[in-house]
Amino acid sequence: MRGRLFAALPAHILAPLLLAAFALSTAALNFFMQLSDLRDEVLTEQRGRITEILNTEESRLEVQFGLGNALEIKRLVTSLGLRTGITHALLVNSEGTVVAAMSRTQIGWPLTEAIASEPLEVQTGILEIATYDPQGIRTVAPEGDDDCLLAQVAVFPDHKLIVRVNLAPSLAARAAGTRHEIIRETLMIILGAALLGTLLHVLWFRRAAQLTAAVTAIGEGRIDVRTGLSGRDELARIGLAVDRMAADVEARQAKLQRLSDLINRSPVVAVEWRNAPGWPVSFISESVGQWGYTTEELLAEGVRFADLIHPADLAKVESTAAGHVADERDDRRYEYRLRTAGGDWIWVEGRAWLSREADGAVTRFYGVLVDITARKRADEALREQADLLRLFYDLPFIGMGISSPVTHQWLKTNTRLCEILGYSCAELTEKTWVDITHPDDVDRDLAGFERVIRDKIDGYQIEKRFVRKDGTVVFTTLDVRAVRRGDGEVDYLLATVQDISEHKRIELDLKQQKERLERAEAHAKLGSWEFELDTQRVWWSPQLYVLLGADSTRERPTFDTFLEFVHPADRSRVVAAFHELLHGRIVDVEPFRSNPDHNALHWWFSSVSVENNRDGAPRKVSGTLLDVTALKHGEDALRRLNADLETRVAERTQQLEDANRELESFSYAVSHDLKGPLRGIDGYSQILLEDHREQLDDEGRRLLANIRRGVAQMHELIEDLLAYSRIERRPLDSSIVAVPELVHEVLDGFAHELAATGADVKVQIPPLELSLDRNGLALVLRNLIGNALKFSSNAAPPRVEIGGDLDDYRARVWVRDNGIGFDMKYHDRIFEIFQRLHRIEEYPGTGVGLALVRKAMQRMRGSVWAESEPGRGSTFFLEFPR
Amino acid sequence: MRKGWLAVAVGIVLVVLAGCGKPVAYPLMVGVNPWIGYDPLVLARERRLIDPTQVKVVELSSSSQIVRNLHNGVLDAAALTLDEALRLAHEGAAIHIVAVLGVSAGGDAVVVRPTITKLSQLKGKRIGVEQSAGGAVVLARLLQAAGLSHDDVSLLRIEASLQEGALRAGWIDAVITFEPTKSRLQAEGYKVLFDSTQMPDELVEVMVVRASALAERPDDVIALLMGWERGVEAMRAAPAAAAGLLARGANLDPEAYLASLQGLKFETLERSTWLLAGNPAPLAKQHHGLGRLLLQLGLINRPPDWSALLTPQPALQALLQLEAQR
Repeated sequence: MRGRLFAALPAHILAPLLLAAFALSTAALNFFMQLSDLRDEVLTEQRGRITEILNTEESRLEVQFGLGNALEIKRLVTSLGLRTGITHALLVNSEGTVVAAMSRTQIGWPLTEAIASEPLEVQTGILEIATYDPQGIRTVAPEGDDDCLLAQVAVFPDHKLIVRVNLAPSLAARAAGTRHEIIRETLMIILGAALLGTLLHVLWFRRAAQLTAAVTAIGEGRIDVRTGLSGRDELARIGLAVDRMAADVEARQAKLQRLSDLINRSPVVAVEWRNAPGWPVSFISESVGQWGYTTEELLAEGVRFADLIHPADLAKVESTAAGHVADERDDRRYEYRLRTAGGDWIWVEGRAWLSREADGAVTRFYGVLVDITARKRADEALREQADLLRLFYDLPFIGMGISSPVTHQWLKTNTRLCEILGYSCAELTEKTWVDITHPDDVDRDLAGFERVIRDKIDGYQIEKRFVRKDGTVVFTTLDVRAVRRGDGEVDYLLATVQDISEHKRIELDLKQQKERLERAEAHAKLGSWEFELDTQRVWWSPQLYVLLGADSTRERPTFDTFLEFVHPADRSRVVAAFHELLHGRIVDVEPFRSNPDHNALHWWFSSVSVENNRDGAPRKVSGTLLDVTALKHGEDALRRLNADLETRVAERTQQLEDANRELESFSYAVSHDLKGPLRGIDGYSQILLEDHREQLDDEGRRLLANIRRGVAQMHELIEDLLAYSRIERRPLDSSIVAVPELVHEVLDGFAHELAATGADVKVQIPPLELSLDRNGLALVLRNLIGNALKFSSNAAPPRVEIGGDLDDYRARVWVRDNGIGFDMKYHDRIFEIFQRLHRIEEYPGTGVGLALVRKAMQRMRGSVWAESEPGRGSTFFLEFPR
Repeated sequence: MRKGWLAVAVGIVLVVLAGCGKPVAYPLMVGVNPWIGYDPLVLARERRLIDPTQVKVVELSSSSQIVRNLHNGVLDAAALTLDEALRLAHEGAAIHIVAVLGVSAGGDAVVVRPTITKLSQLKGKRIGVEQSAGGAVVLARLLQAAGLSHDDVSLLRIEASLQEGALRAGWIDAVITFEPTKSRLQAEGYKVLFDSTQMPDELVEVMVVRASALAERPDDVIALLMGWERGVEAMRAAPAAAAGLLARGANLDPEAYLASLQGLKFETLERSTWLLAGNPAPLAKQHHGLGRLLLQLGLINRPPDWSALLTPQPALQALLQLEAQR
């Protein structure tokens, strides 16, 4: 497992890792070894050092003891504080009392008490060493306190100096020194490892990577890549071998590529099939791309070549293949249809060989395929052409025959030719074509023949007549083609003959029709013309030349020529109309005149028509020119008569209007003048009734009252008449009228009647403003409301409803009542003056009101009508245009 | 390939990390001579007012021993008189004065045999003096006061701790010394003819720190100064108890010890900061004369560079930390 892990890492990673691991482990080992020896070394060193110190101090103290200098002794002991690591220095006399110490607190006390405040391990150590005999210098490293060294020295005469050394700082200093050293060494080791790694990288890994990259590239197919390693070591030798191998492979591949290119550029497709059901393809050249396939598609798992073969050909291919396998012969030829990637079928021809094993079993077919579709098609086309030719030859309406250029004899004819010429085919081959040609056409035909022979033209066409066996003449068109041999000499002549007798007959009919038409045009004095816009071709009928007085042999039919024959004063009209016509617009042209410079003045009338092409643009314009001189003269006479008549009508109308005005004036004057005597009669009869009442008996008074009533009626009638005639005379005063307000205003005028009858009046008019004659509308409303109240007076209670509505075009106001109504057959009558449907005793009135209403509405450009039924009330509608 | 190098790199990092232990920390070594003016530091050590793992106060025999050890790098700091400090600096030691510890107000003295009663009697006599600037200064003032010249006396260079013995043995007639020696000798009947009360504020004790120690271990220096302040406080709070503990080291009984304290004045950190700060600092202004004297004595040959020498920051920081702790 571990081995595999190492193998999983490339050497250029593994080697530095191993080097680093080696360096680190060496450094770590070094570190731990040095640390383990450290304490012993420090202890040994400190023992030596403290021995030296104490040795010196012993001498100095003994000198001071000798001098009895107690203060200096103390100072010597305290001075020990200068020594590194010495934490305690105690000078103890023979009684065990501390006489000098680094700490003043301890001076003067028995040793045990002097150090009582010290930590336990310090006490233990000091007391322990204090028990030793004071002889020379003694050092002790007490158990359980690694950082401590105790020393004692006897000081003459009877003192002993005890010192305690703390090793910790020395240990720490040494440890620090050791660490620095180890770091240095480790860095050196690592540096060495790095240098070694670099060396390895330069000498080995970089080149190995180069080699690996090159081999990988070659493995991926880039065989032009080389390792490029130099030197004489193993890597260089491997590199050289790889380069040689790559060069070899490259050369082979180039060779293969040339072969492959050759095949791929050729129409040949090289294939190898496995001898398995459906013949799966095991190799195919890229030239199969010409059929739309990629090699990968055909080499894919499950693709069977047999599926590409046309089902109709598959059985044949299978049987050929079976025979091939069974046969001793190695190669076979196949021809079948193959489906291309685009789904088309192509013809392929294949040569296949077999690959047999030792026991003779066929394992593979291999071979080449070639697309022979074009060849197949050419064969097919050739066959079709031959069939077509035969078909043409047998056509039932074209006569065909082959004749000898030497003897002019028919060599071969088709049935139709025999029919046209009226001979049996056998009889015809006995004759030459000269024999049966109409004598008048022989020379022309022979002339054509001569040109074919002499001038080597391909053929000629003529219209000629043949004399049939029964002696009748048949009109034909003849087409003669020379079929030449390789040396250019005519081998035979192929003639096609078409019977055009029918055509000739139609041509004759057409000619007759044309003559008739020309005659008709001449009778009608009508010429016709045509102008094709795209070809600019102009055609004039012969009669048009006649009408214009132009010479058809000299004058070219153009519009300009035509204009020459038009009266100069009318030309502009004609030109304008013609231009419009060219844009597809037909403009009526008033009859125009001929140019009097050419011949006598004529009037012409032109009519035109336009034919458009599919795009709707004018293609052809045509028209006729009619001589309307006679018609024009008649029309002028008629116009003069009409003008005379109109003058007479105007005169009559004027007379009528004058009479009407006189009548109106008269009726006004009469009405006005009648009022005077009437006032007299009324006044006198009133005086009579008031002043002479007593002289009159009841009968007299009744009669007088009747007179007065008659007079009142007469007065009312005259007032109405005057009002009626005033309507005509009164000028219209148009202003904006608020209709609902006006209705209420009018109703106010009927306050007395409304109170008297107890009528129920409803006004439901929307806010409606109309621009009209206010007085006219007031008159209309007064009459209609008055009528409504009058004719509904017997209803209980009388109901009058005034309503209105409007839309975009009109405004409508109506007045409805629940009165006696009327029969609609009298509808028109009630609007006529003095027309009444009821007796005056029943419903008083003059019969002028509604006539006034109608007149006023007419003046305001409105209309009035009514809807009613007897006993069911009436509704009068007023309508105003908006 | 890249993975390989990565592994190597990781290995190197591991090794380096394994090697990076905590560096060995030695306590700041502070030396003091037997002058009782420095005893607040000893008290602080004994009472554990200073962390012994941070600061180690070592009592040495004499100023000269201190100066030597300071020079040699055995000591990181030391309590010295100002003149000693100036001389040391002049000799090229990279040091800073970080605190003023006290002023000798009689603590330094010239002790003579009982037979000598006047200063003038010192003419032709042998005077023991420590090989130190302090000694030289007192000697100069003494000769000045006595109206004598150097040639009028013979000098014996002798360490402080040996001075007592030398006097008793009769090797010298007078000794320039300081407490507690002065008190001890007085107790034995020797006389004081001249003391530092006659040269007010001239003998100042200062805390000197090696420049390297200050740069590398500023916290330890601050701890030292805090220990001084605490020691002074402890001594002022309970002088008798302090004397009971400290007298043993001075070879005095507690009473004599207490009496000897009268000859000196302890300075607090607060006053230190005032004395050391500014340019010129008050200390420099006060002791301008001392500089001149040292020049005259030939102990230095150029005026001291006060601004380079005086460093009030550690005292200030110690003060701030103490206040914060309170």
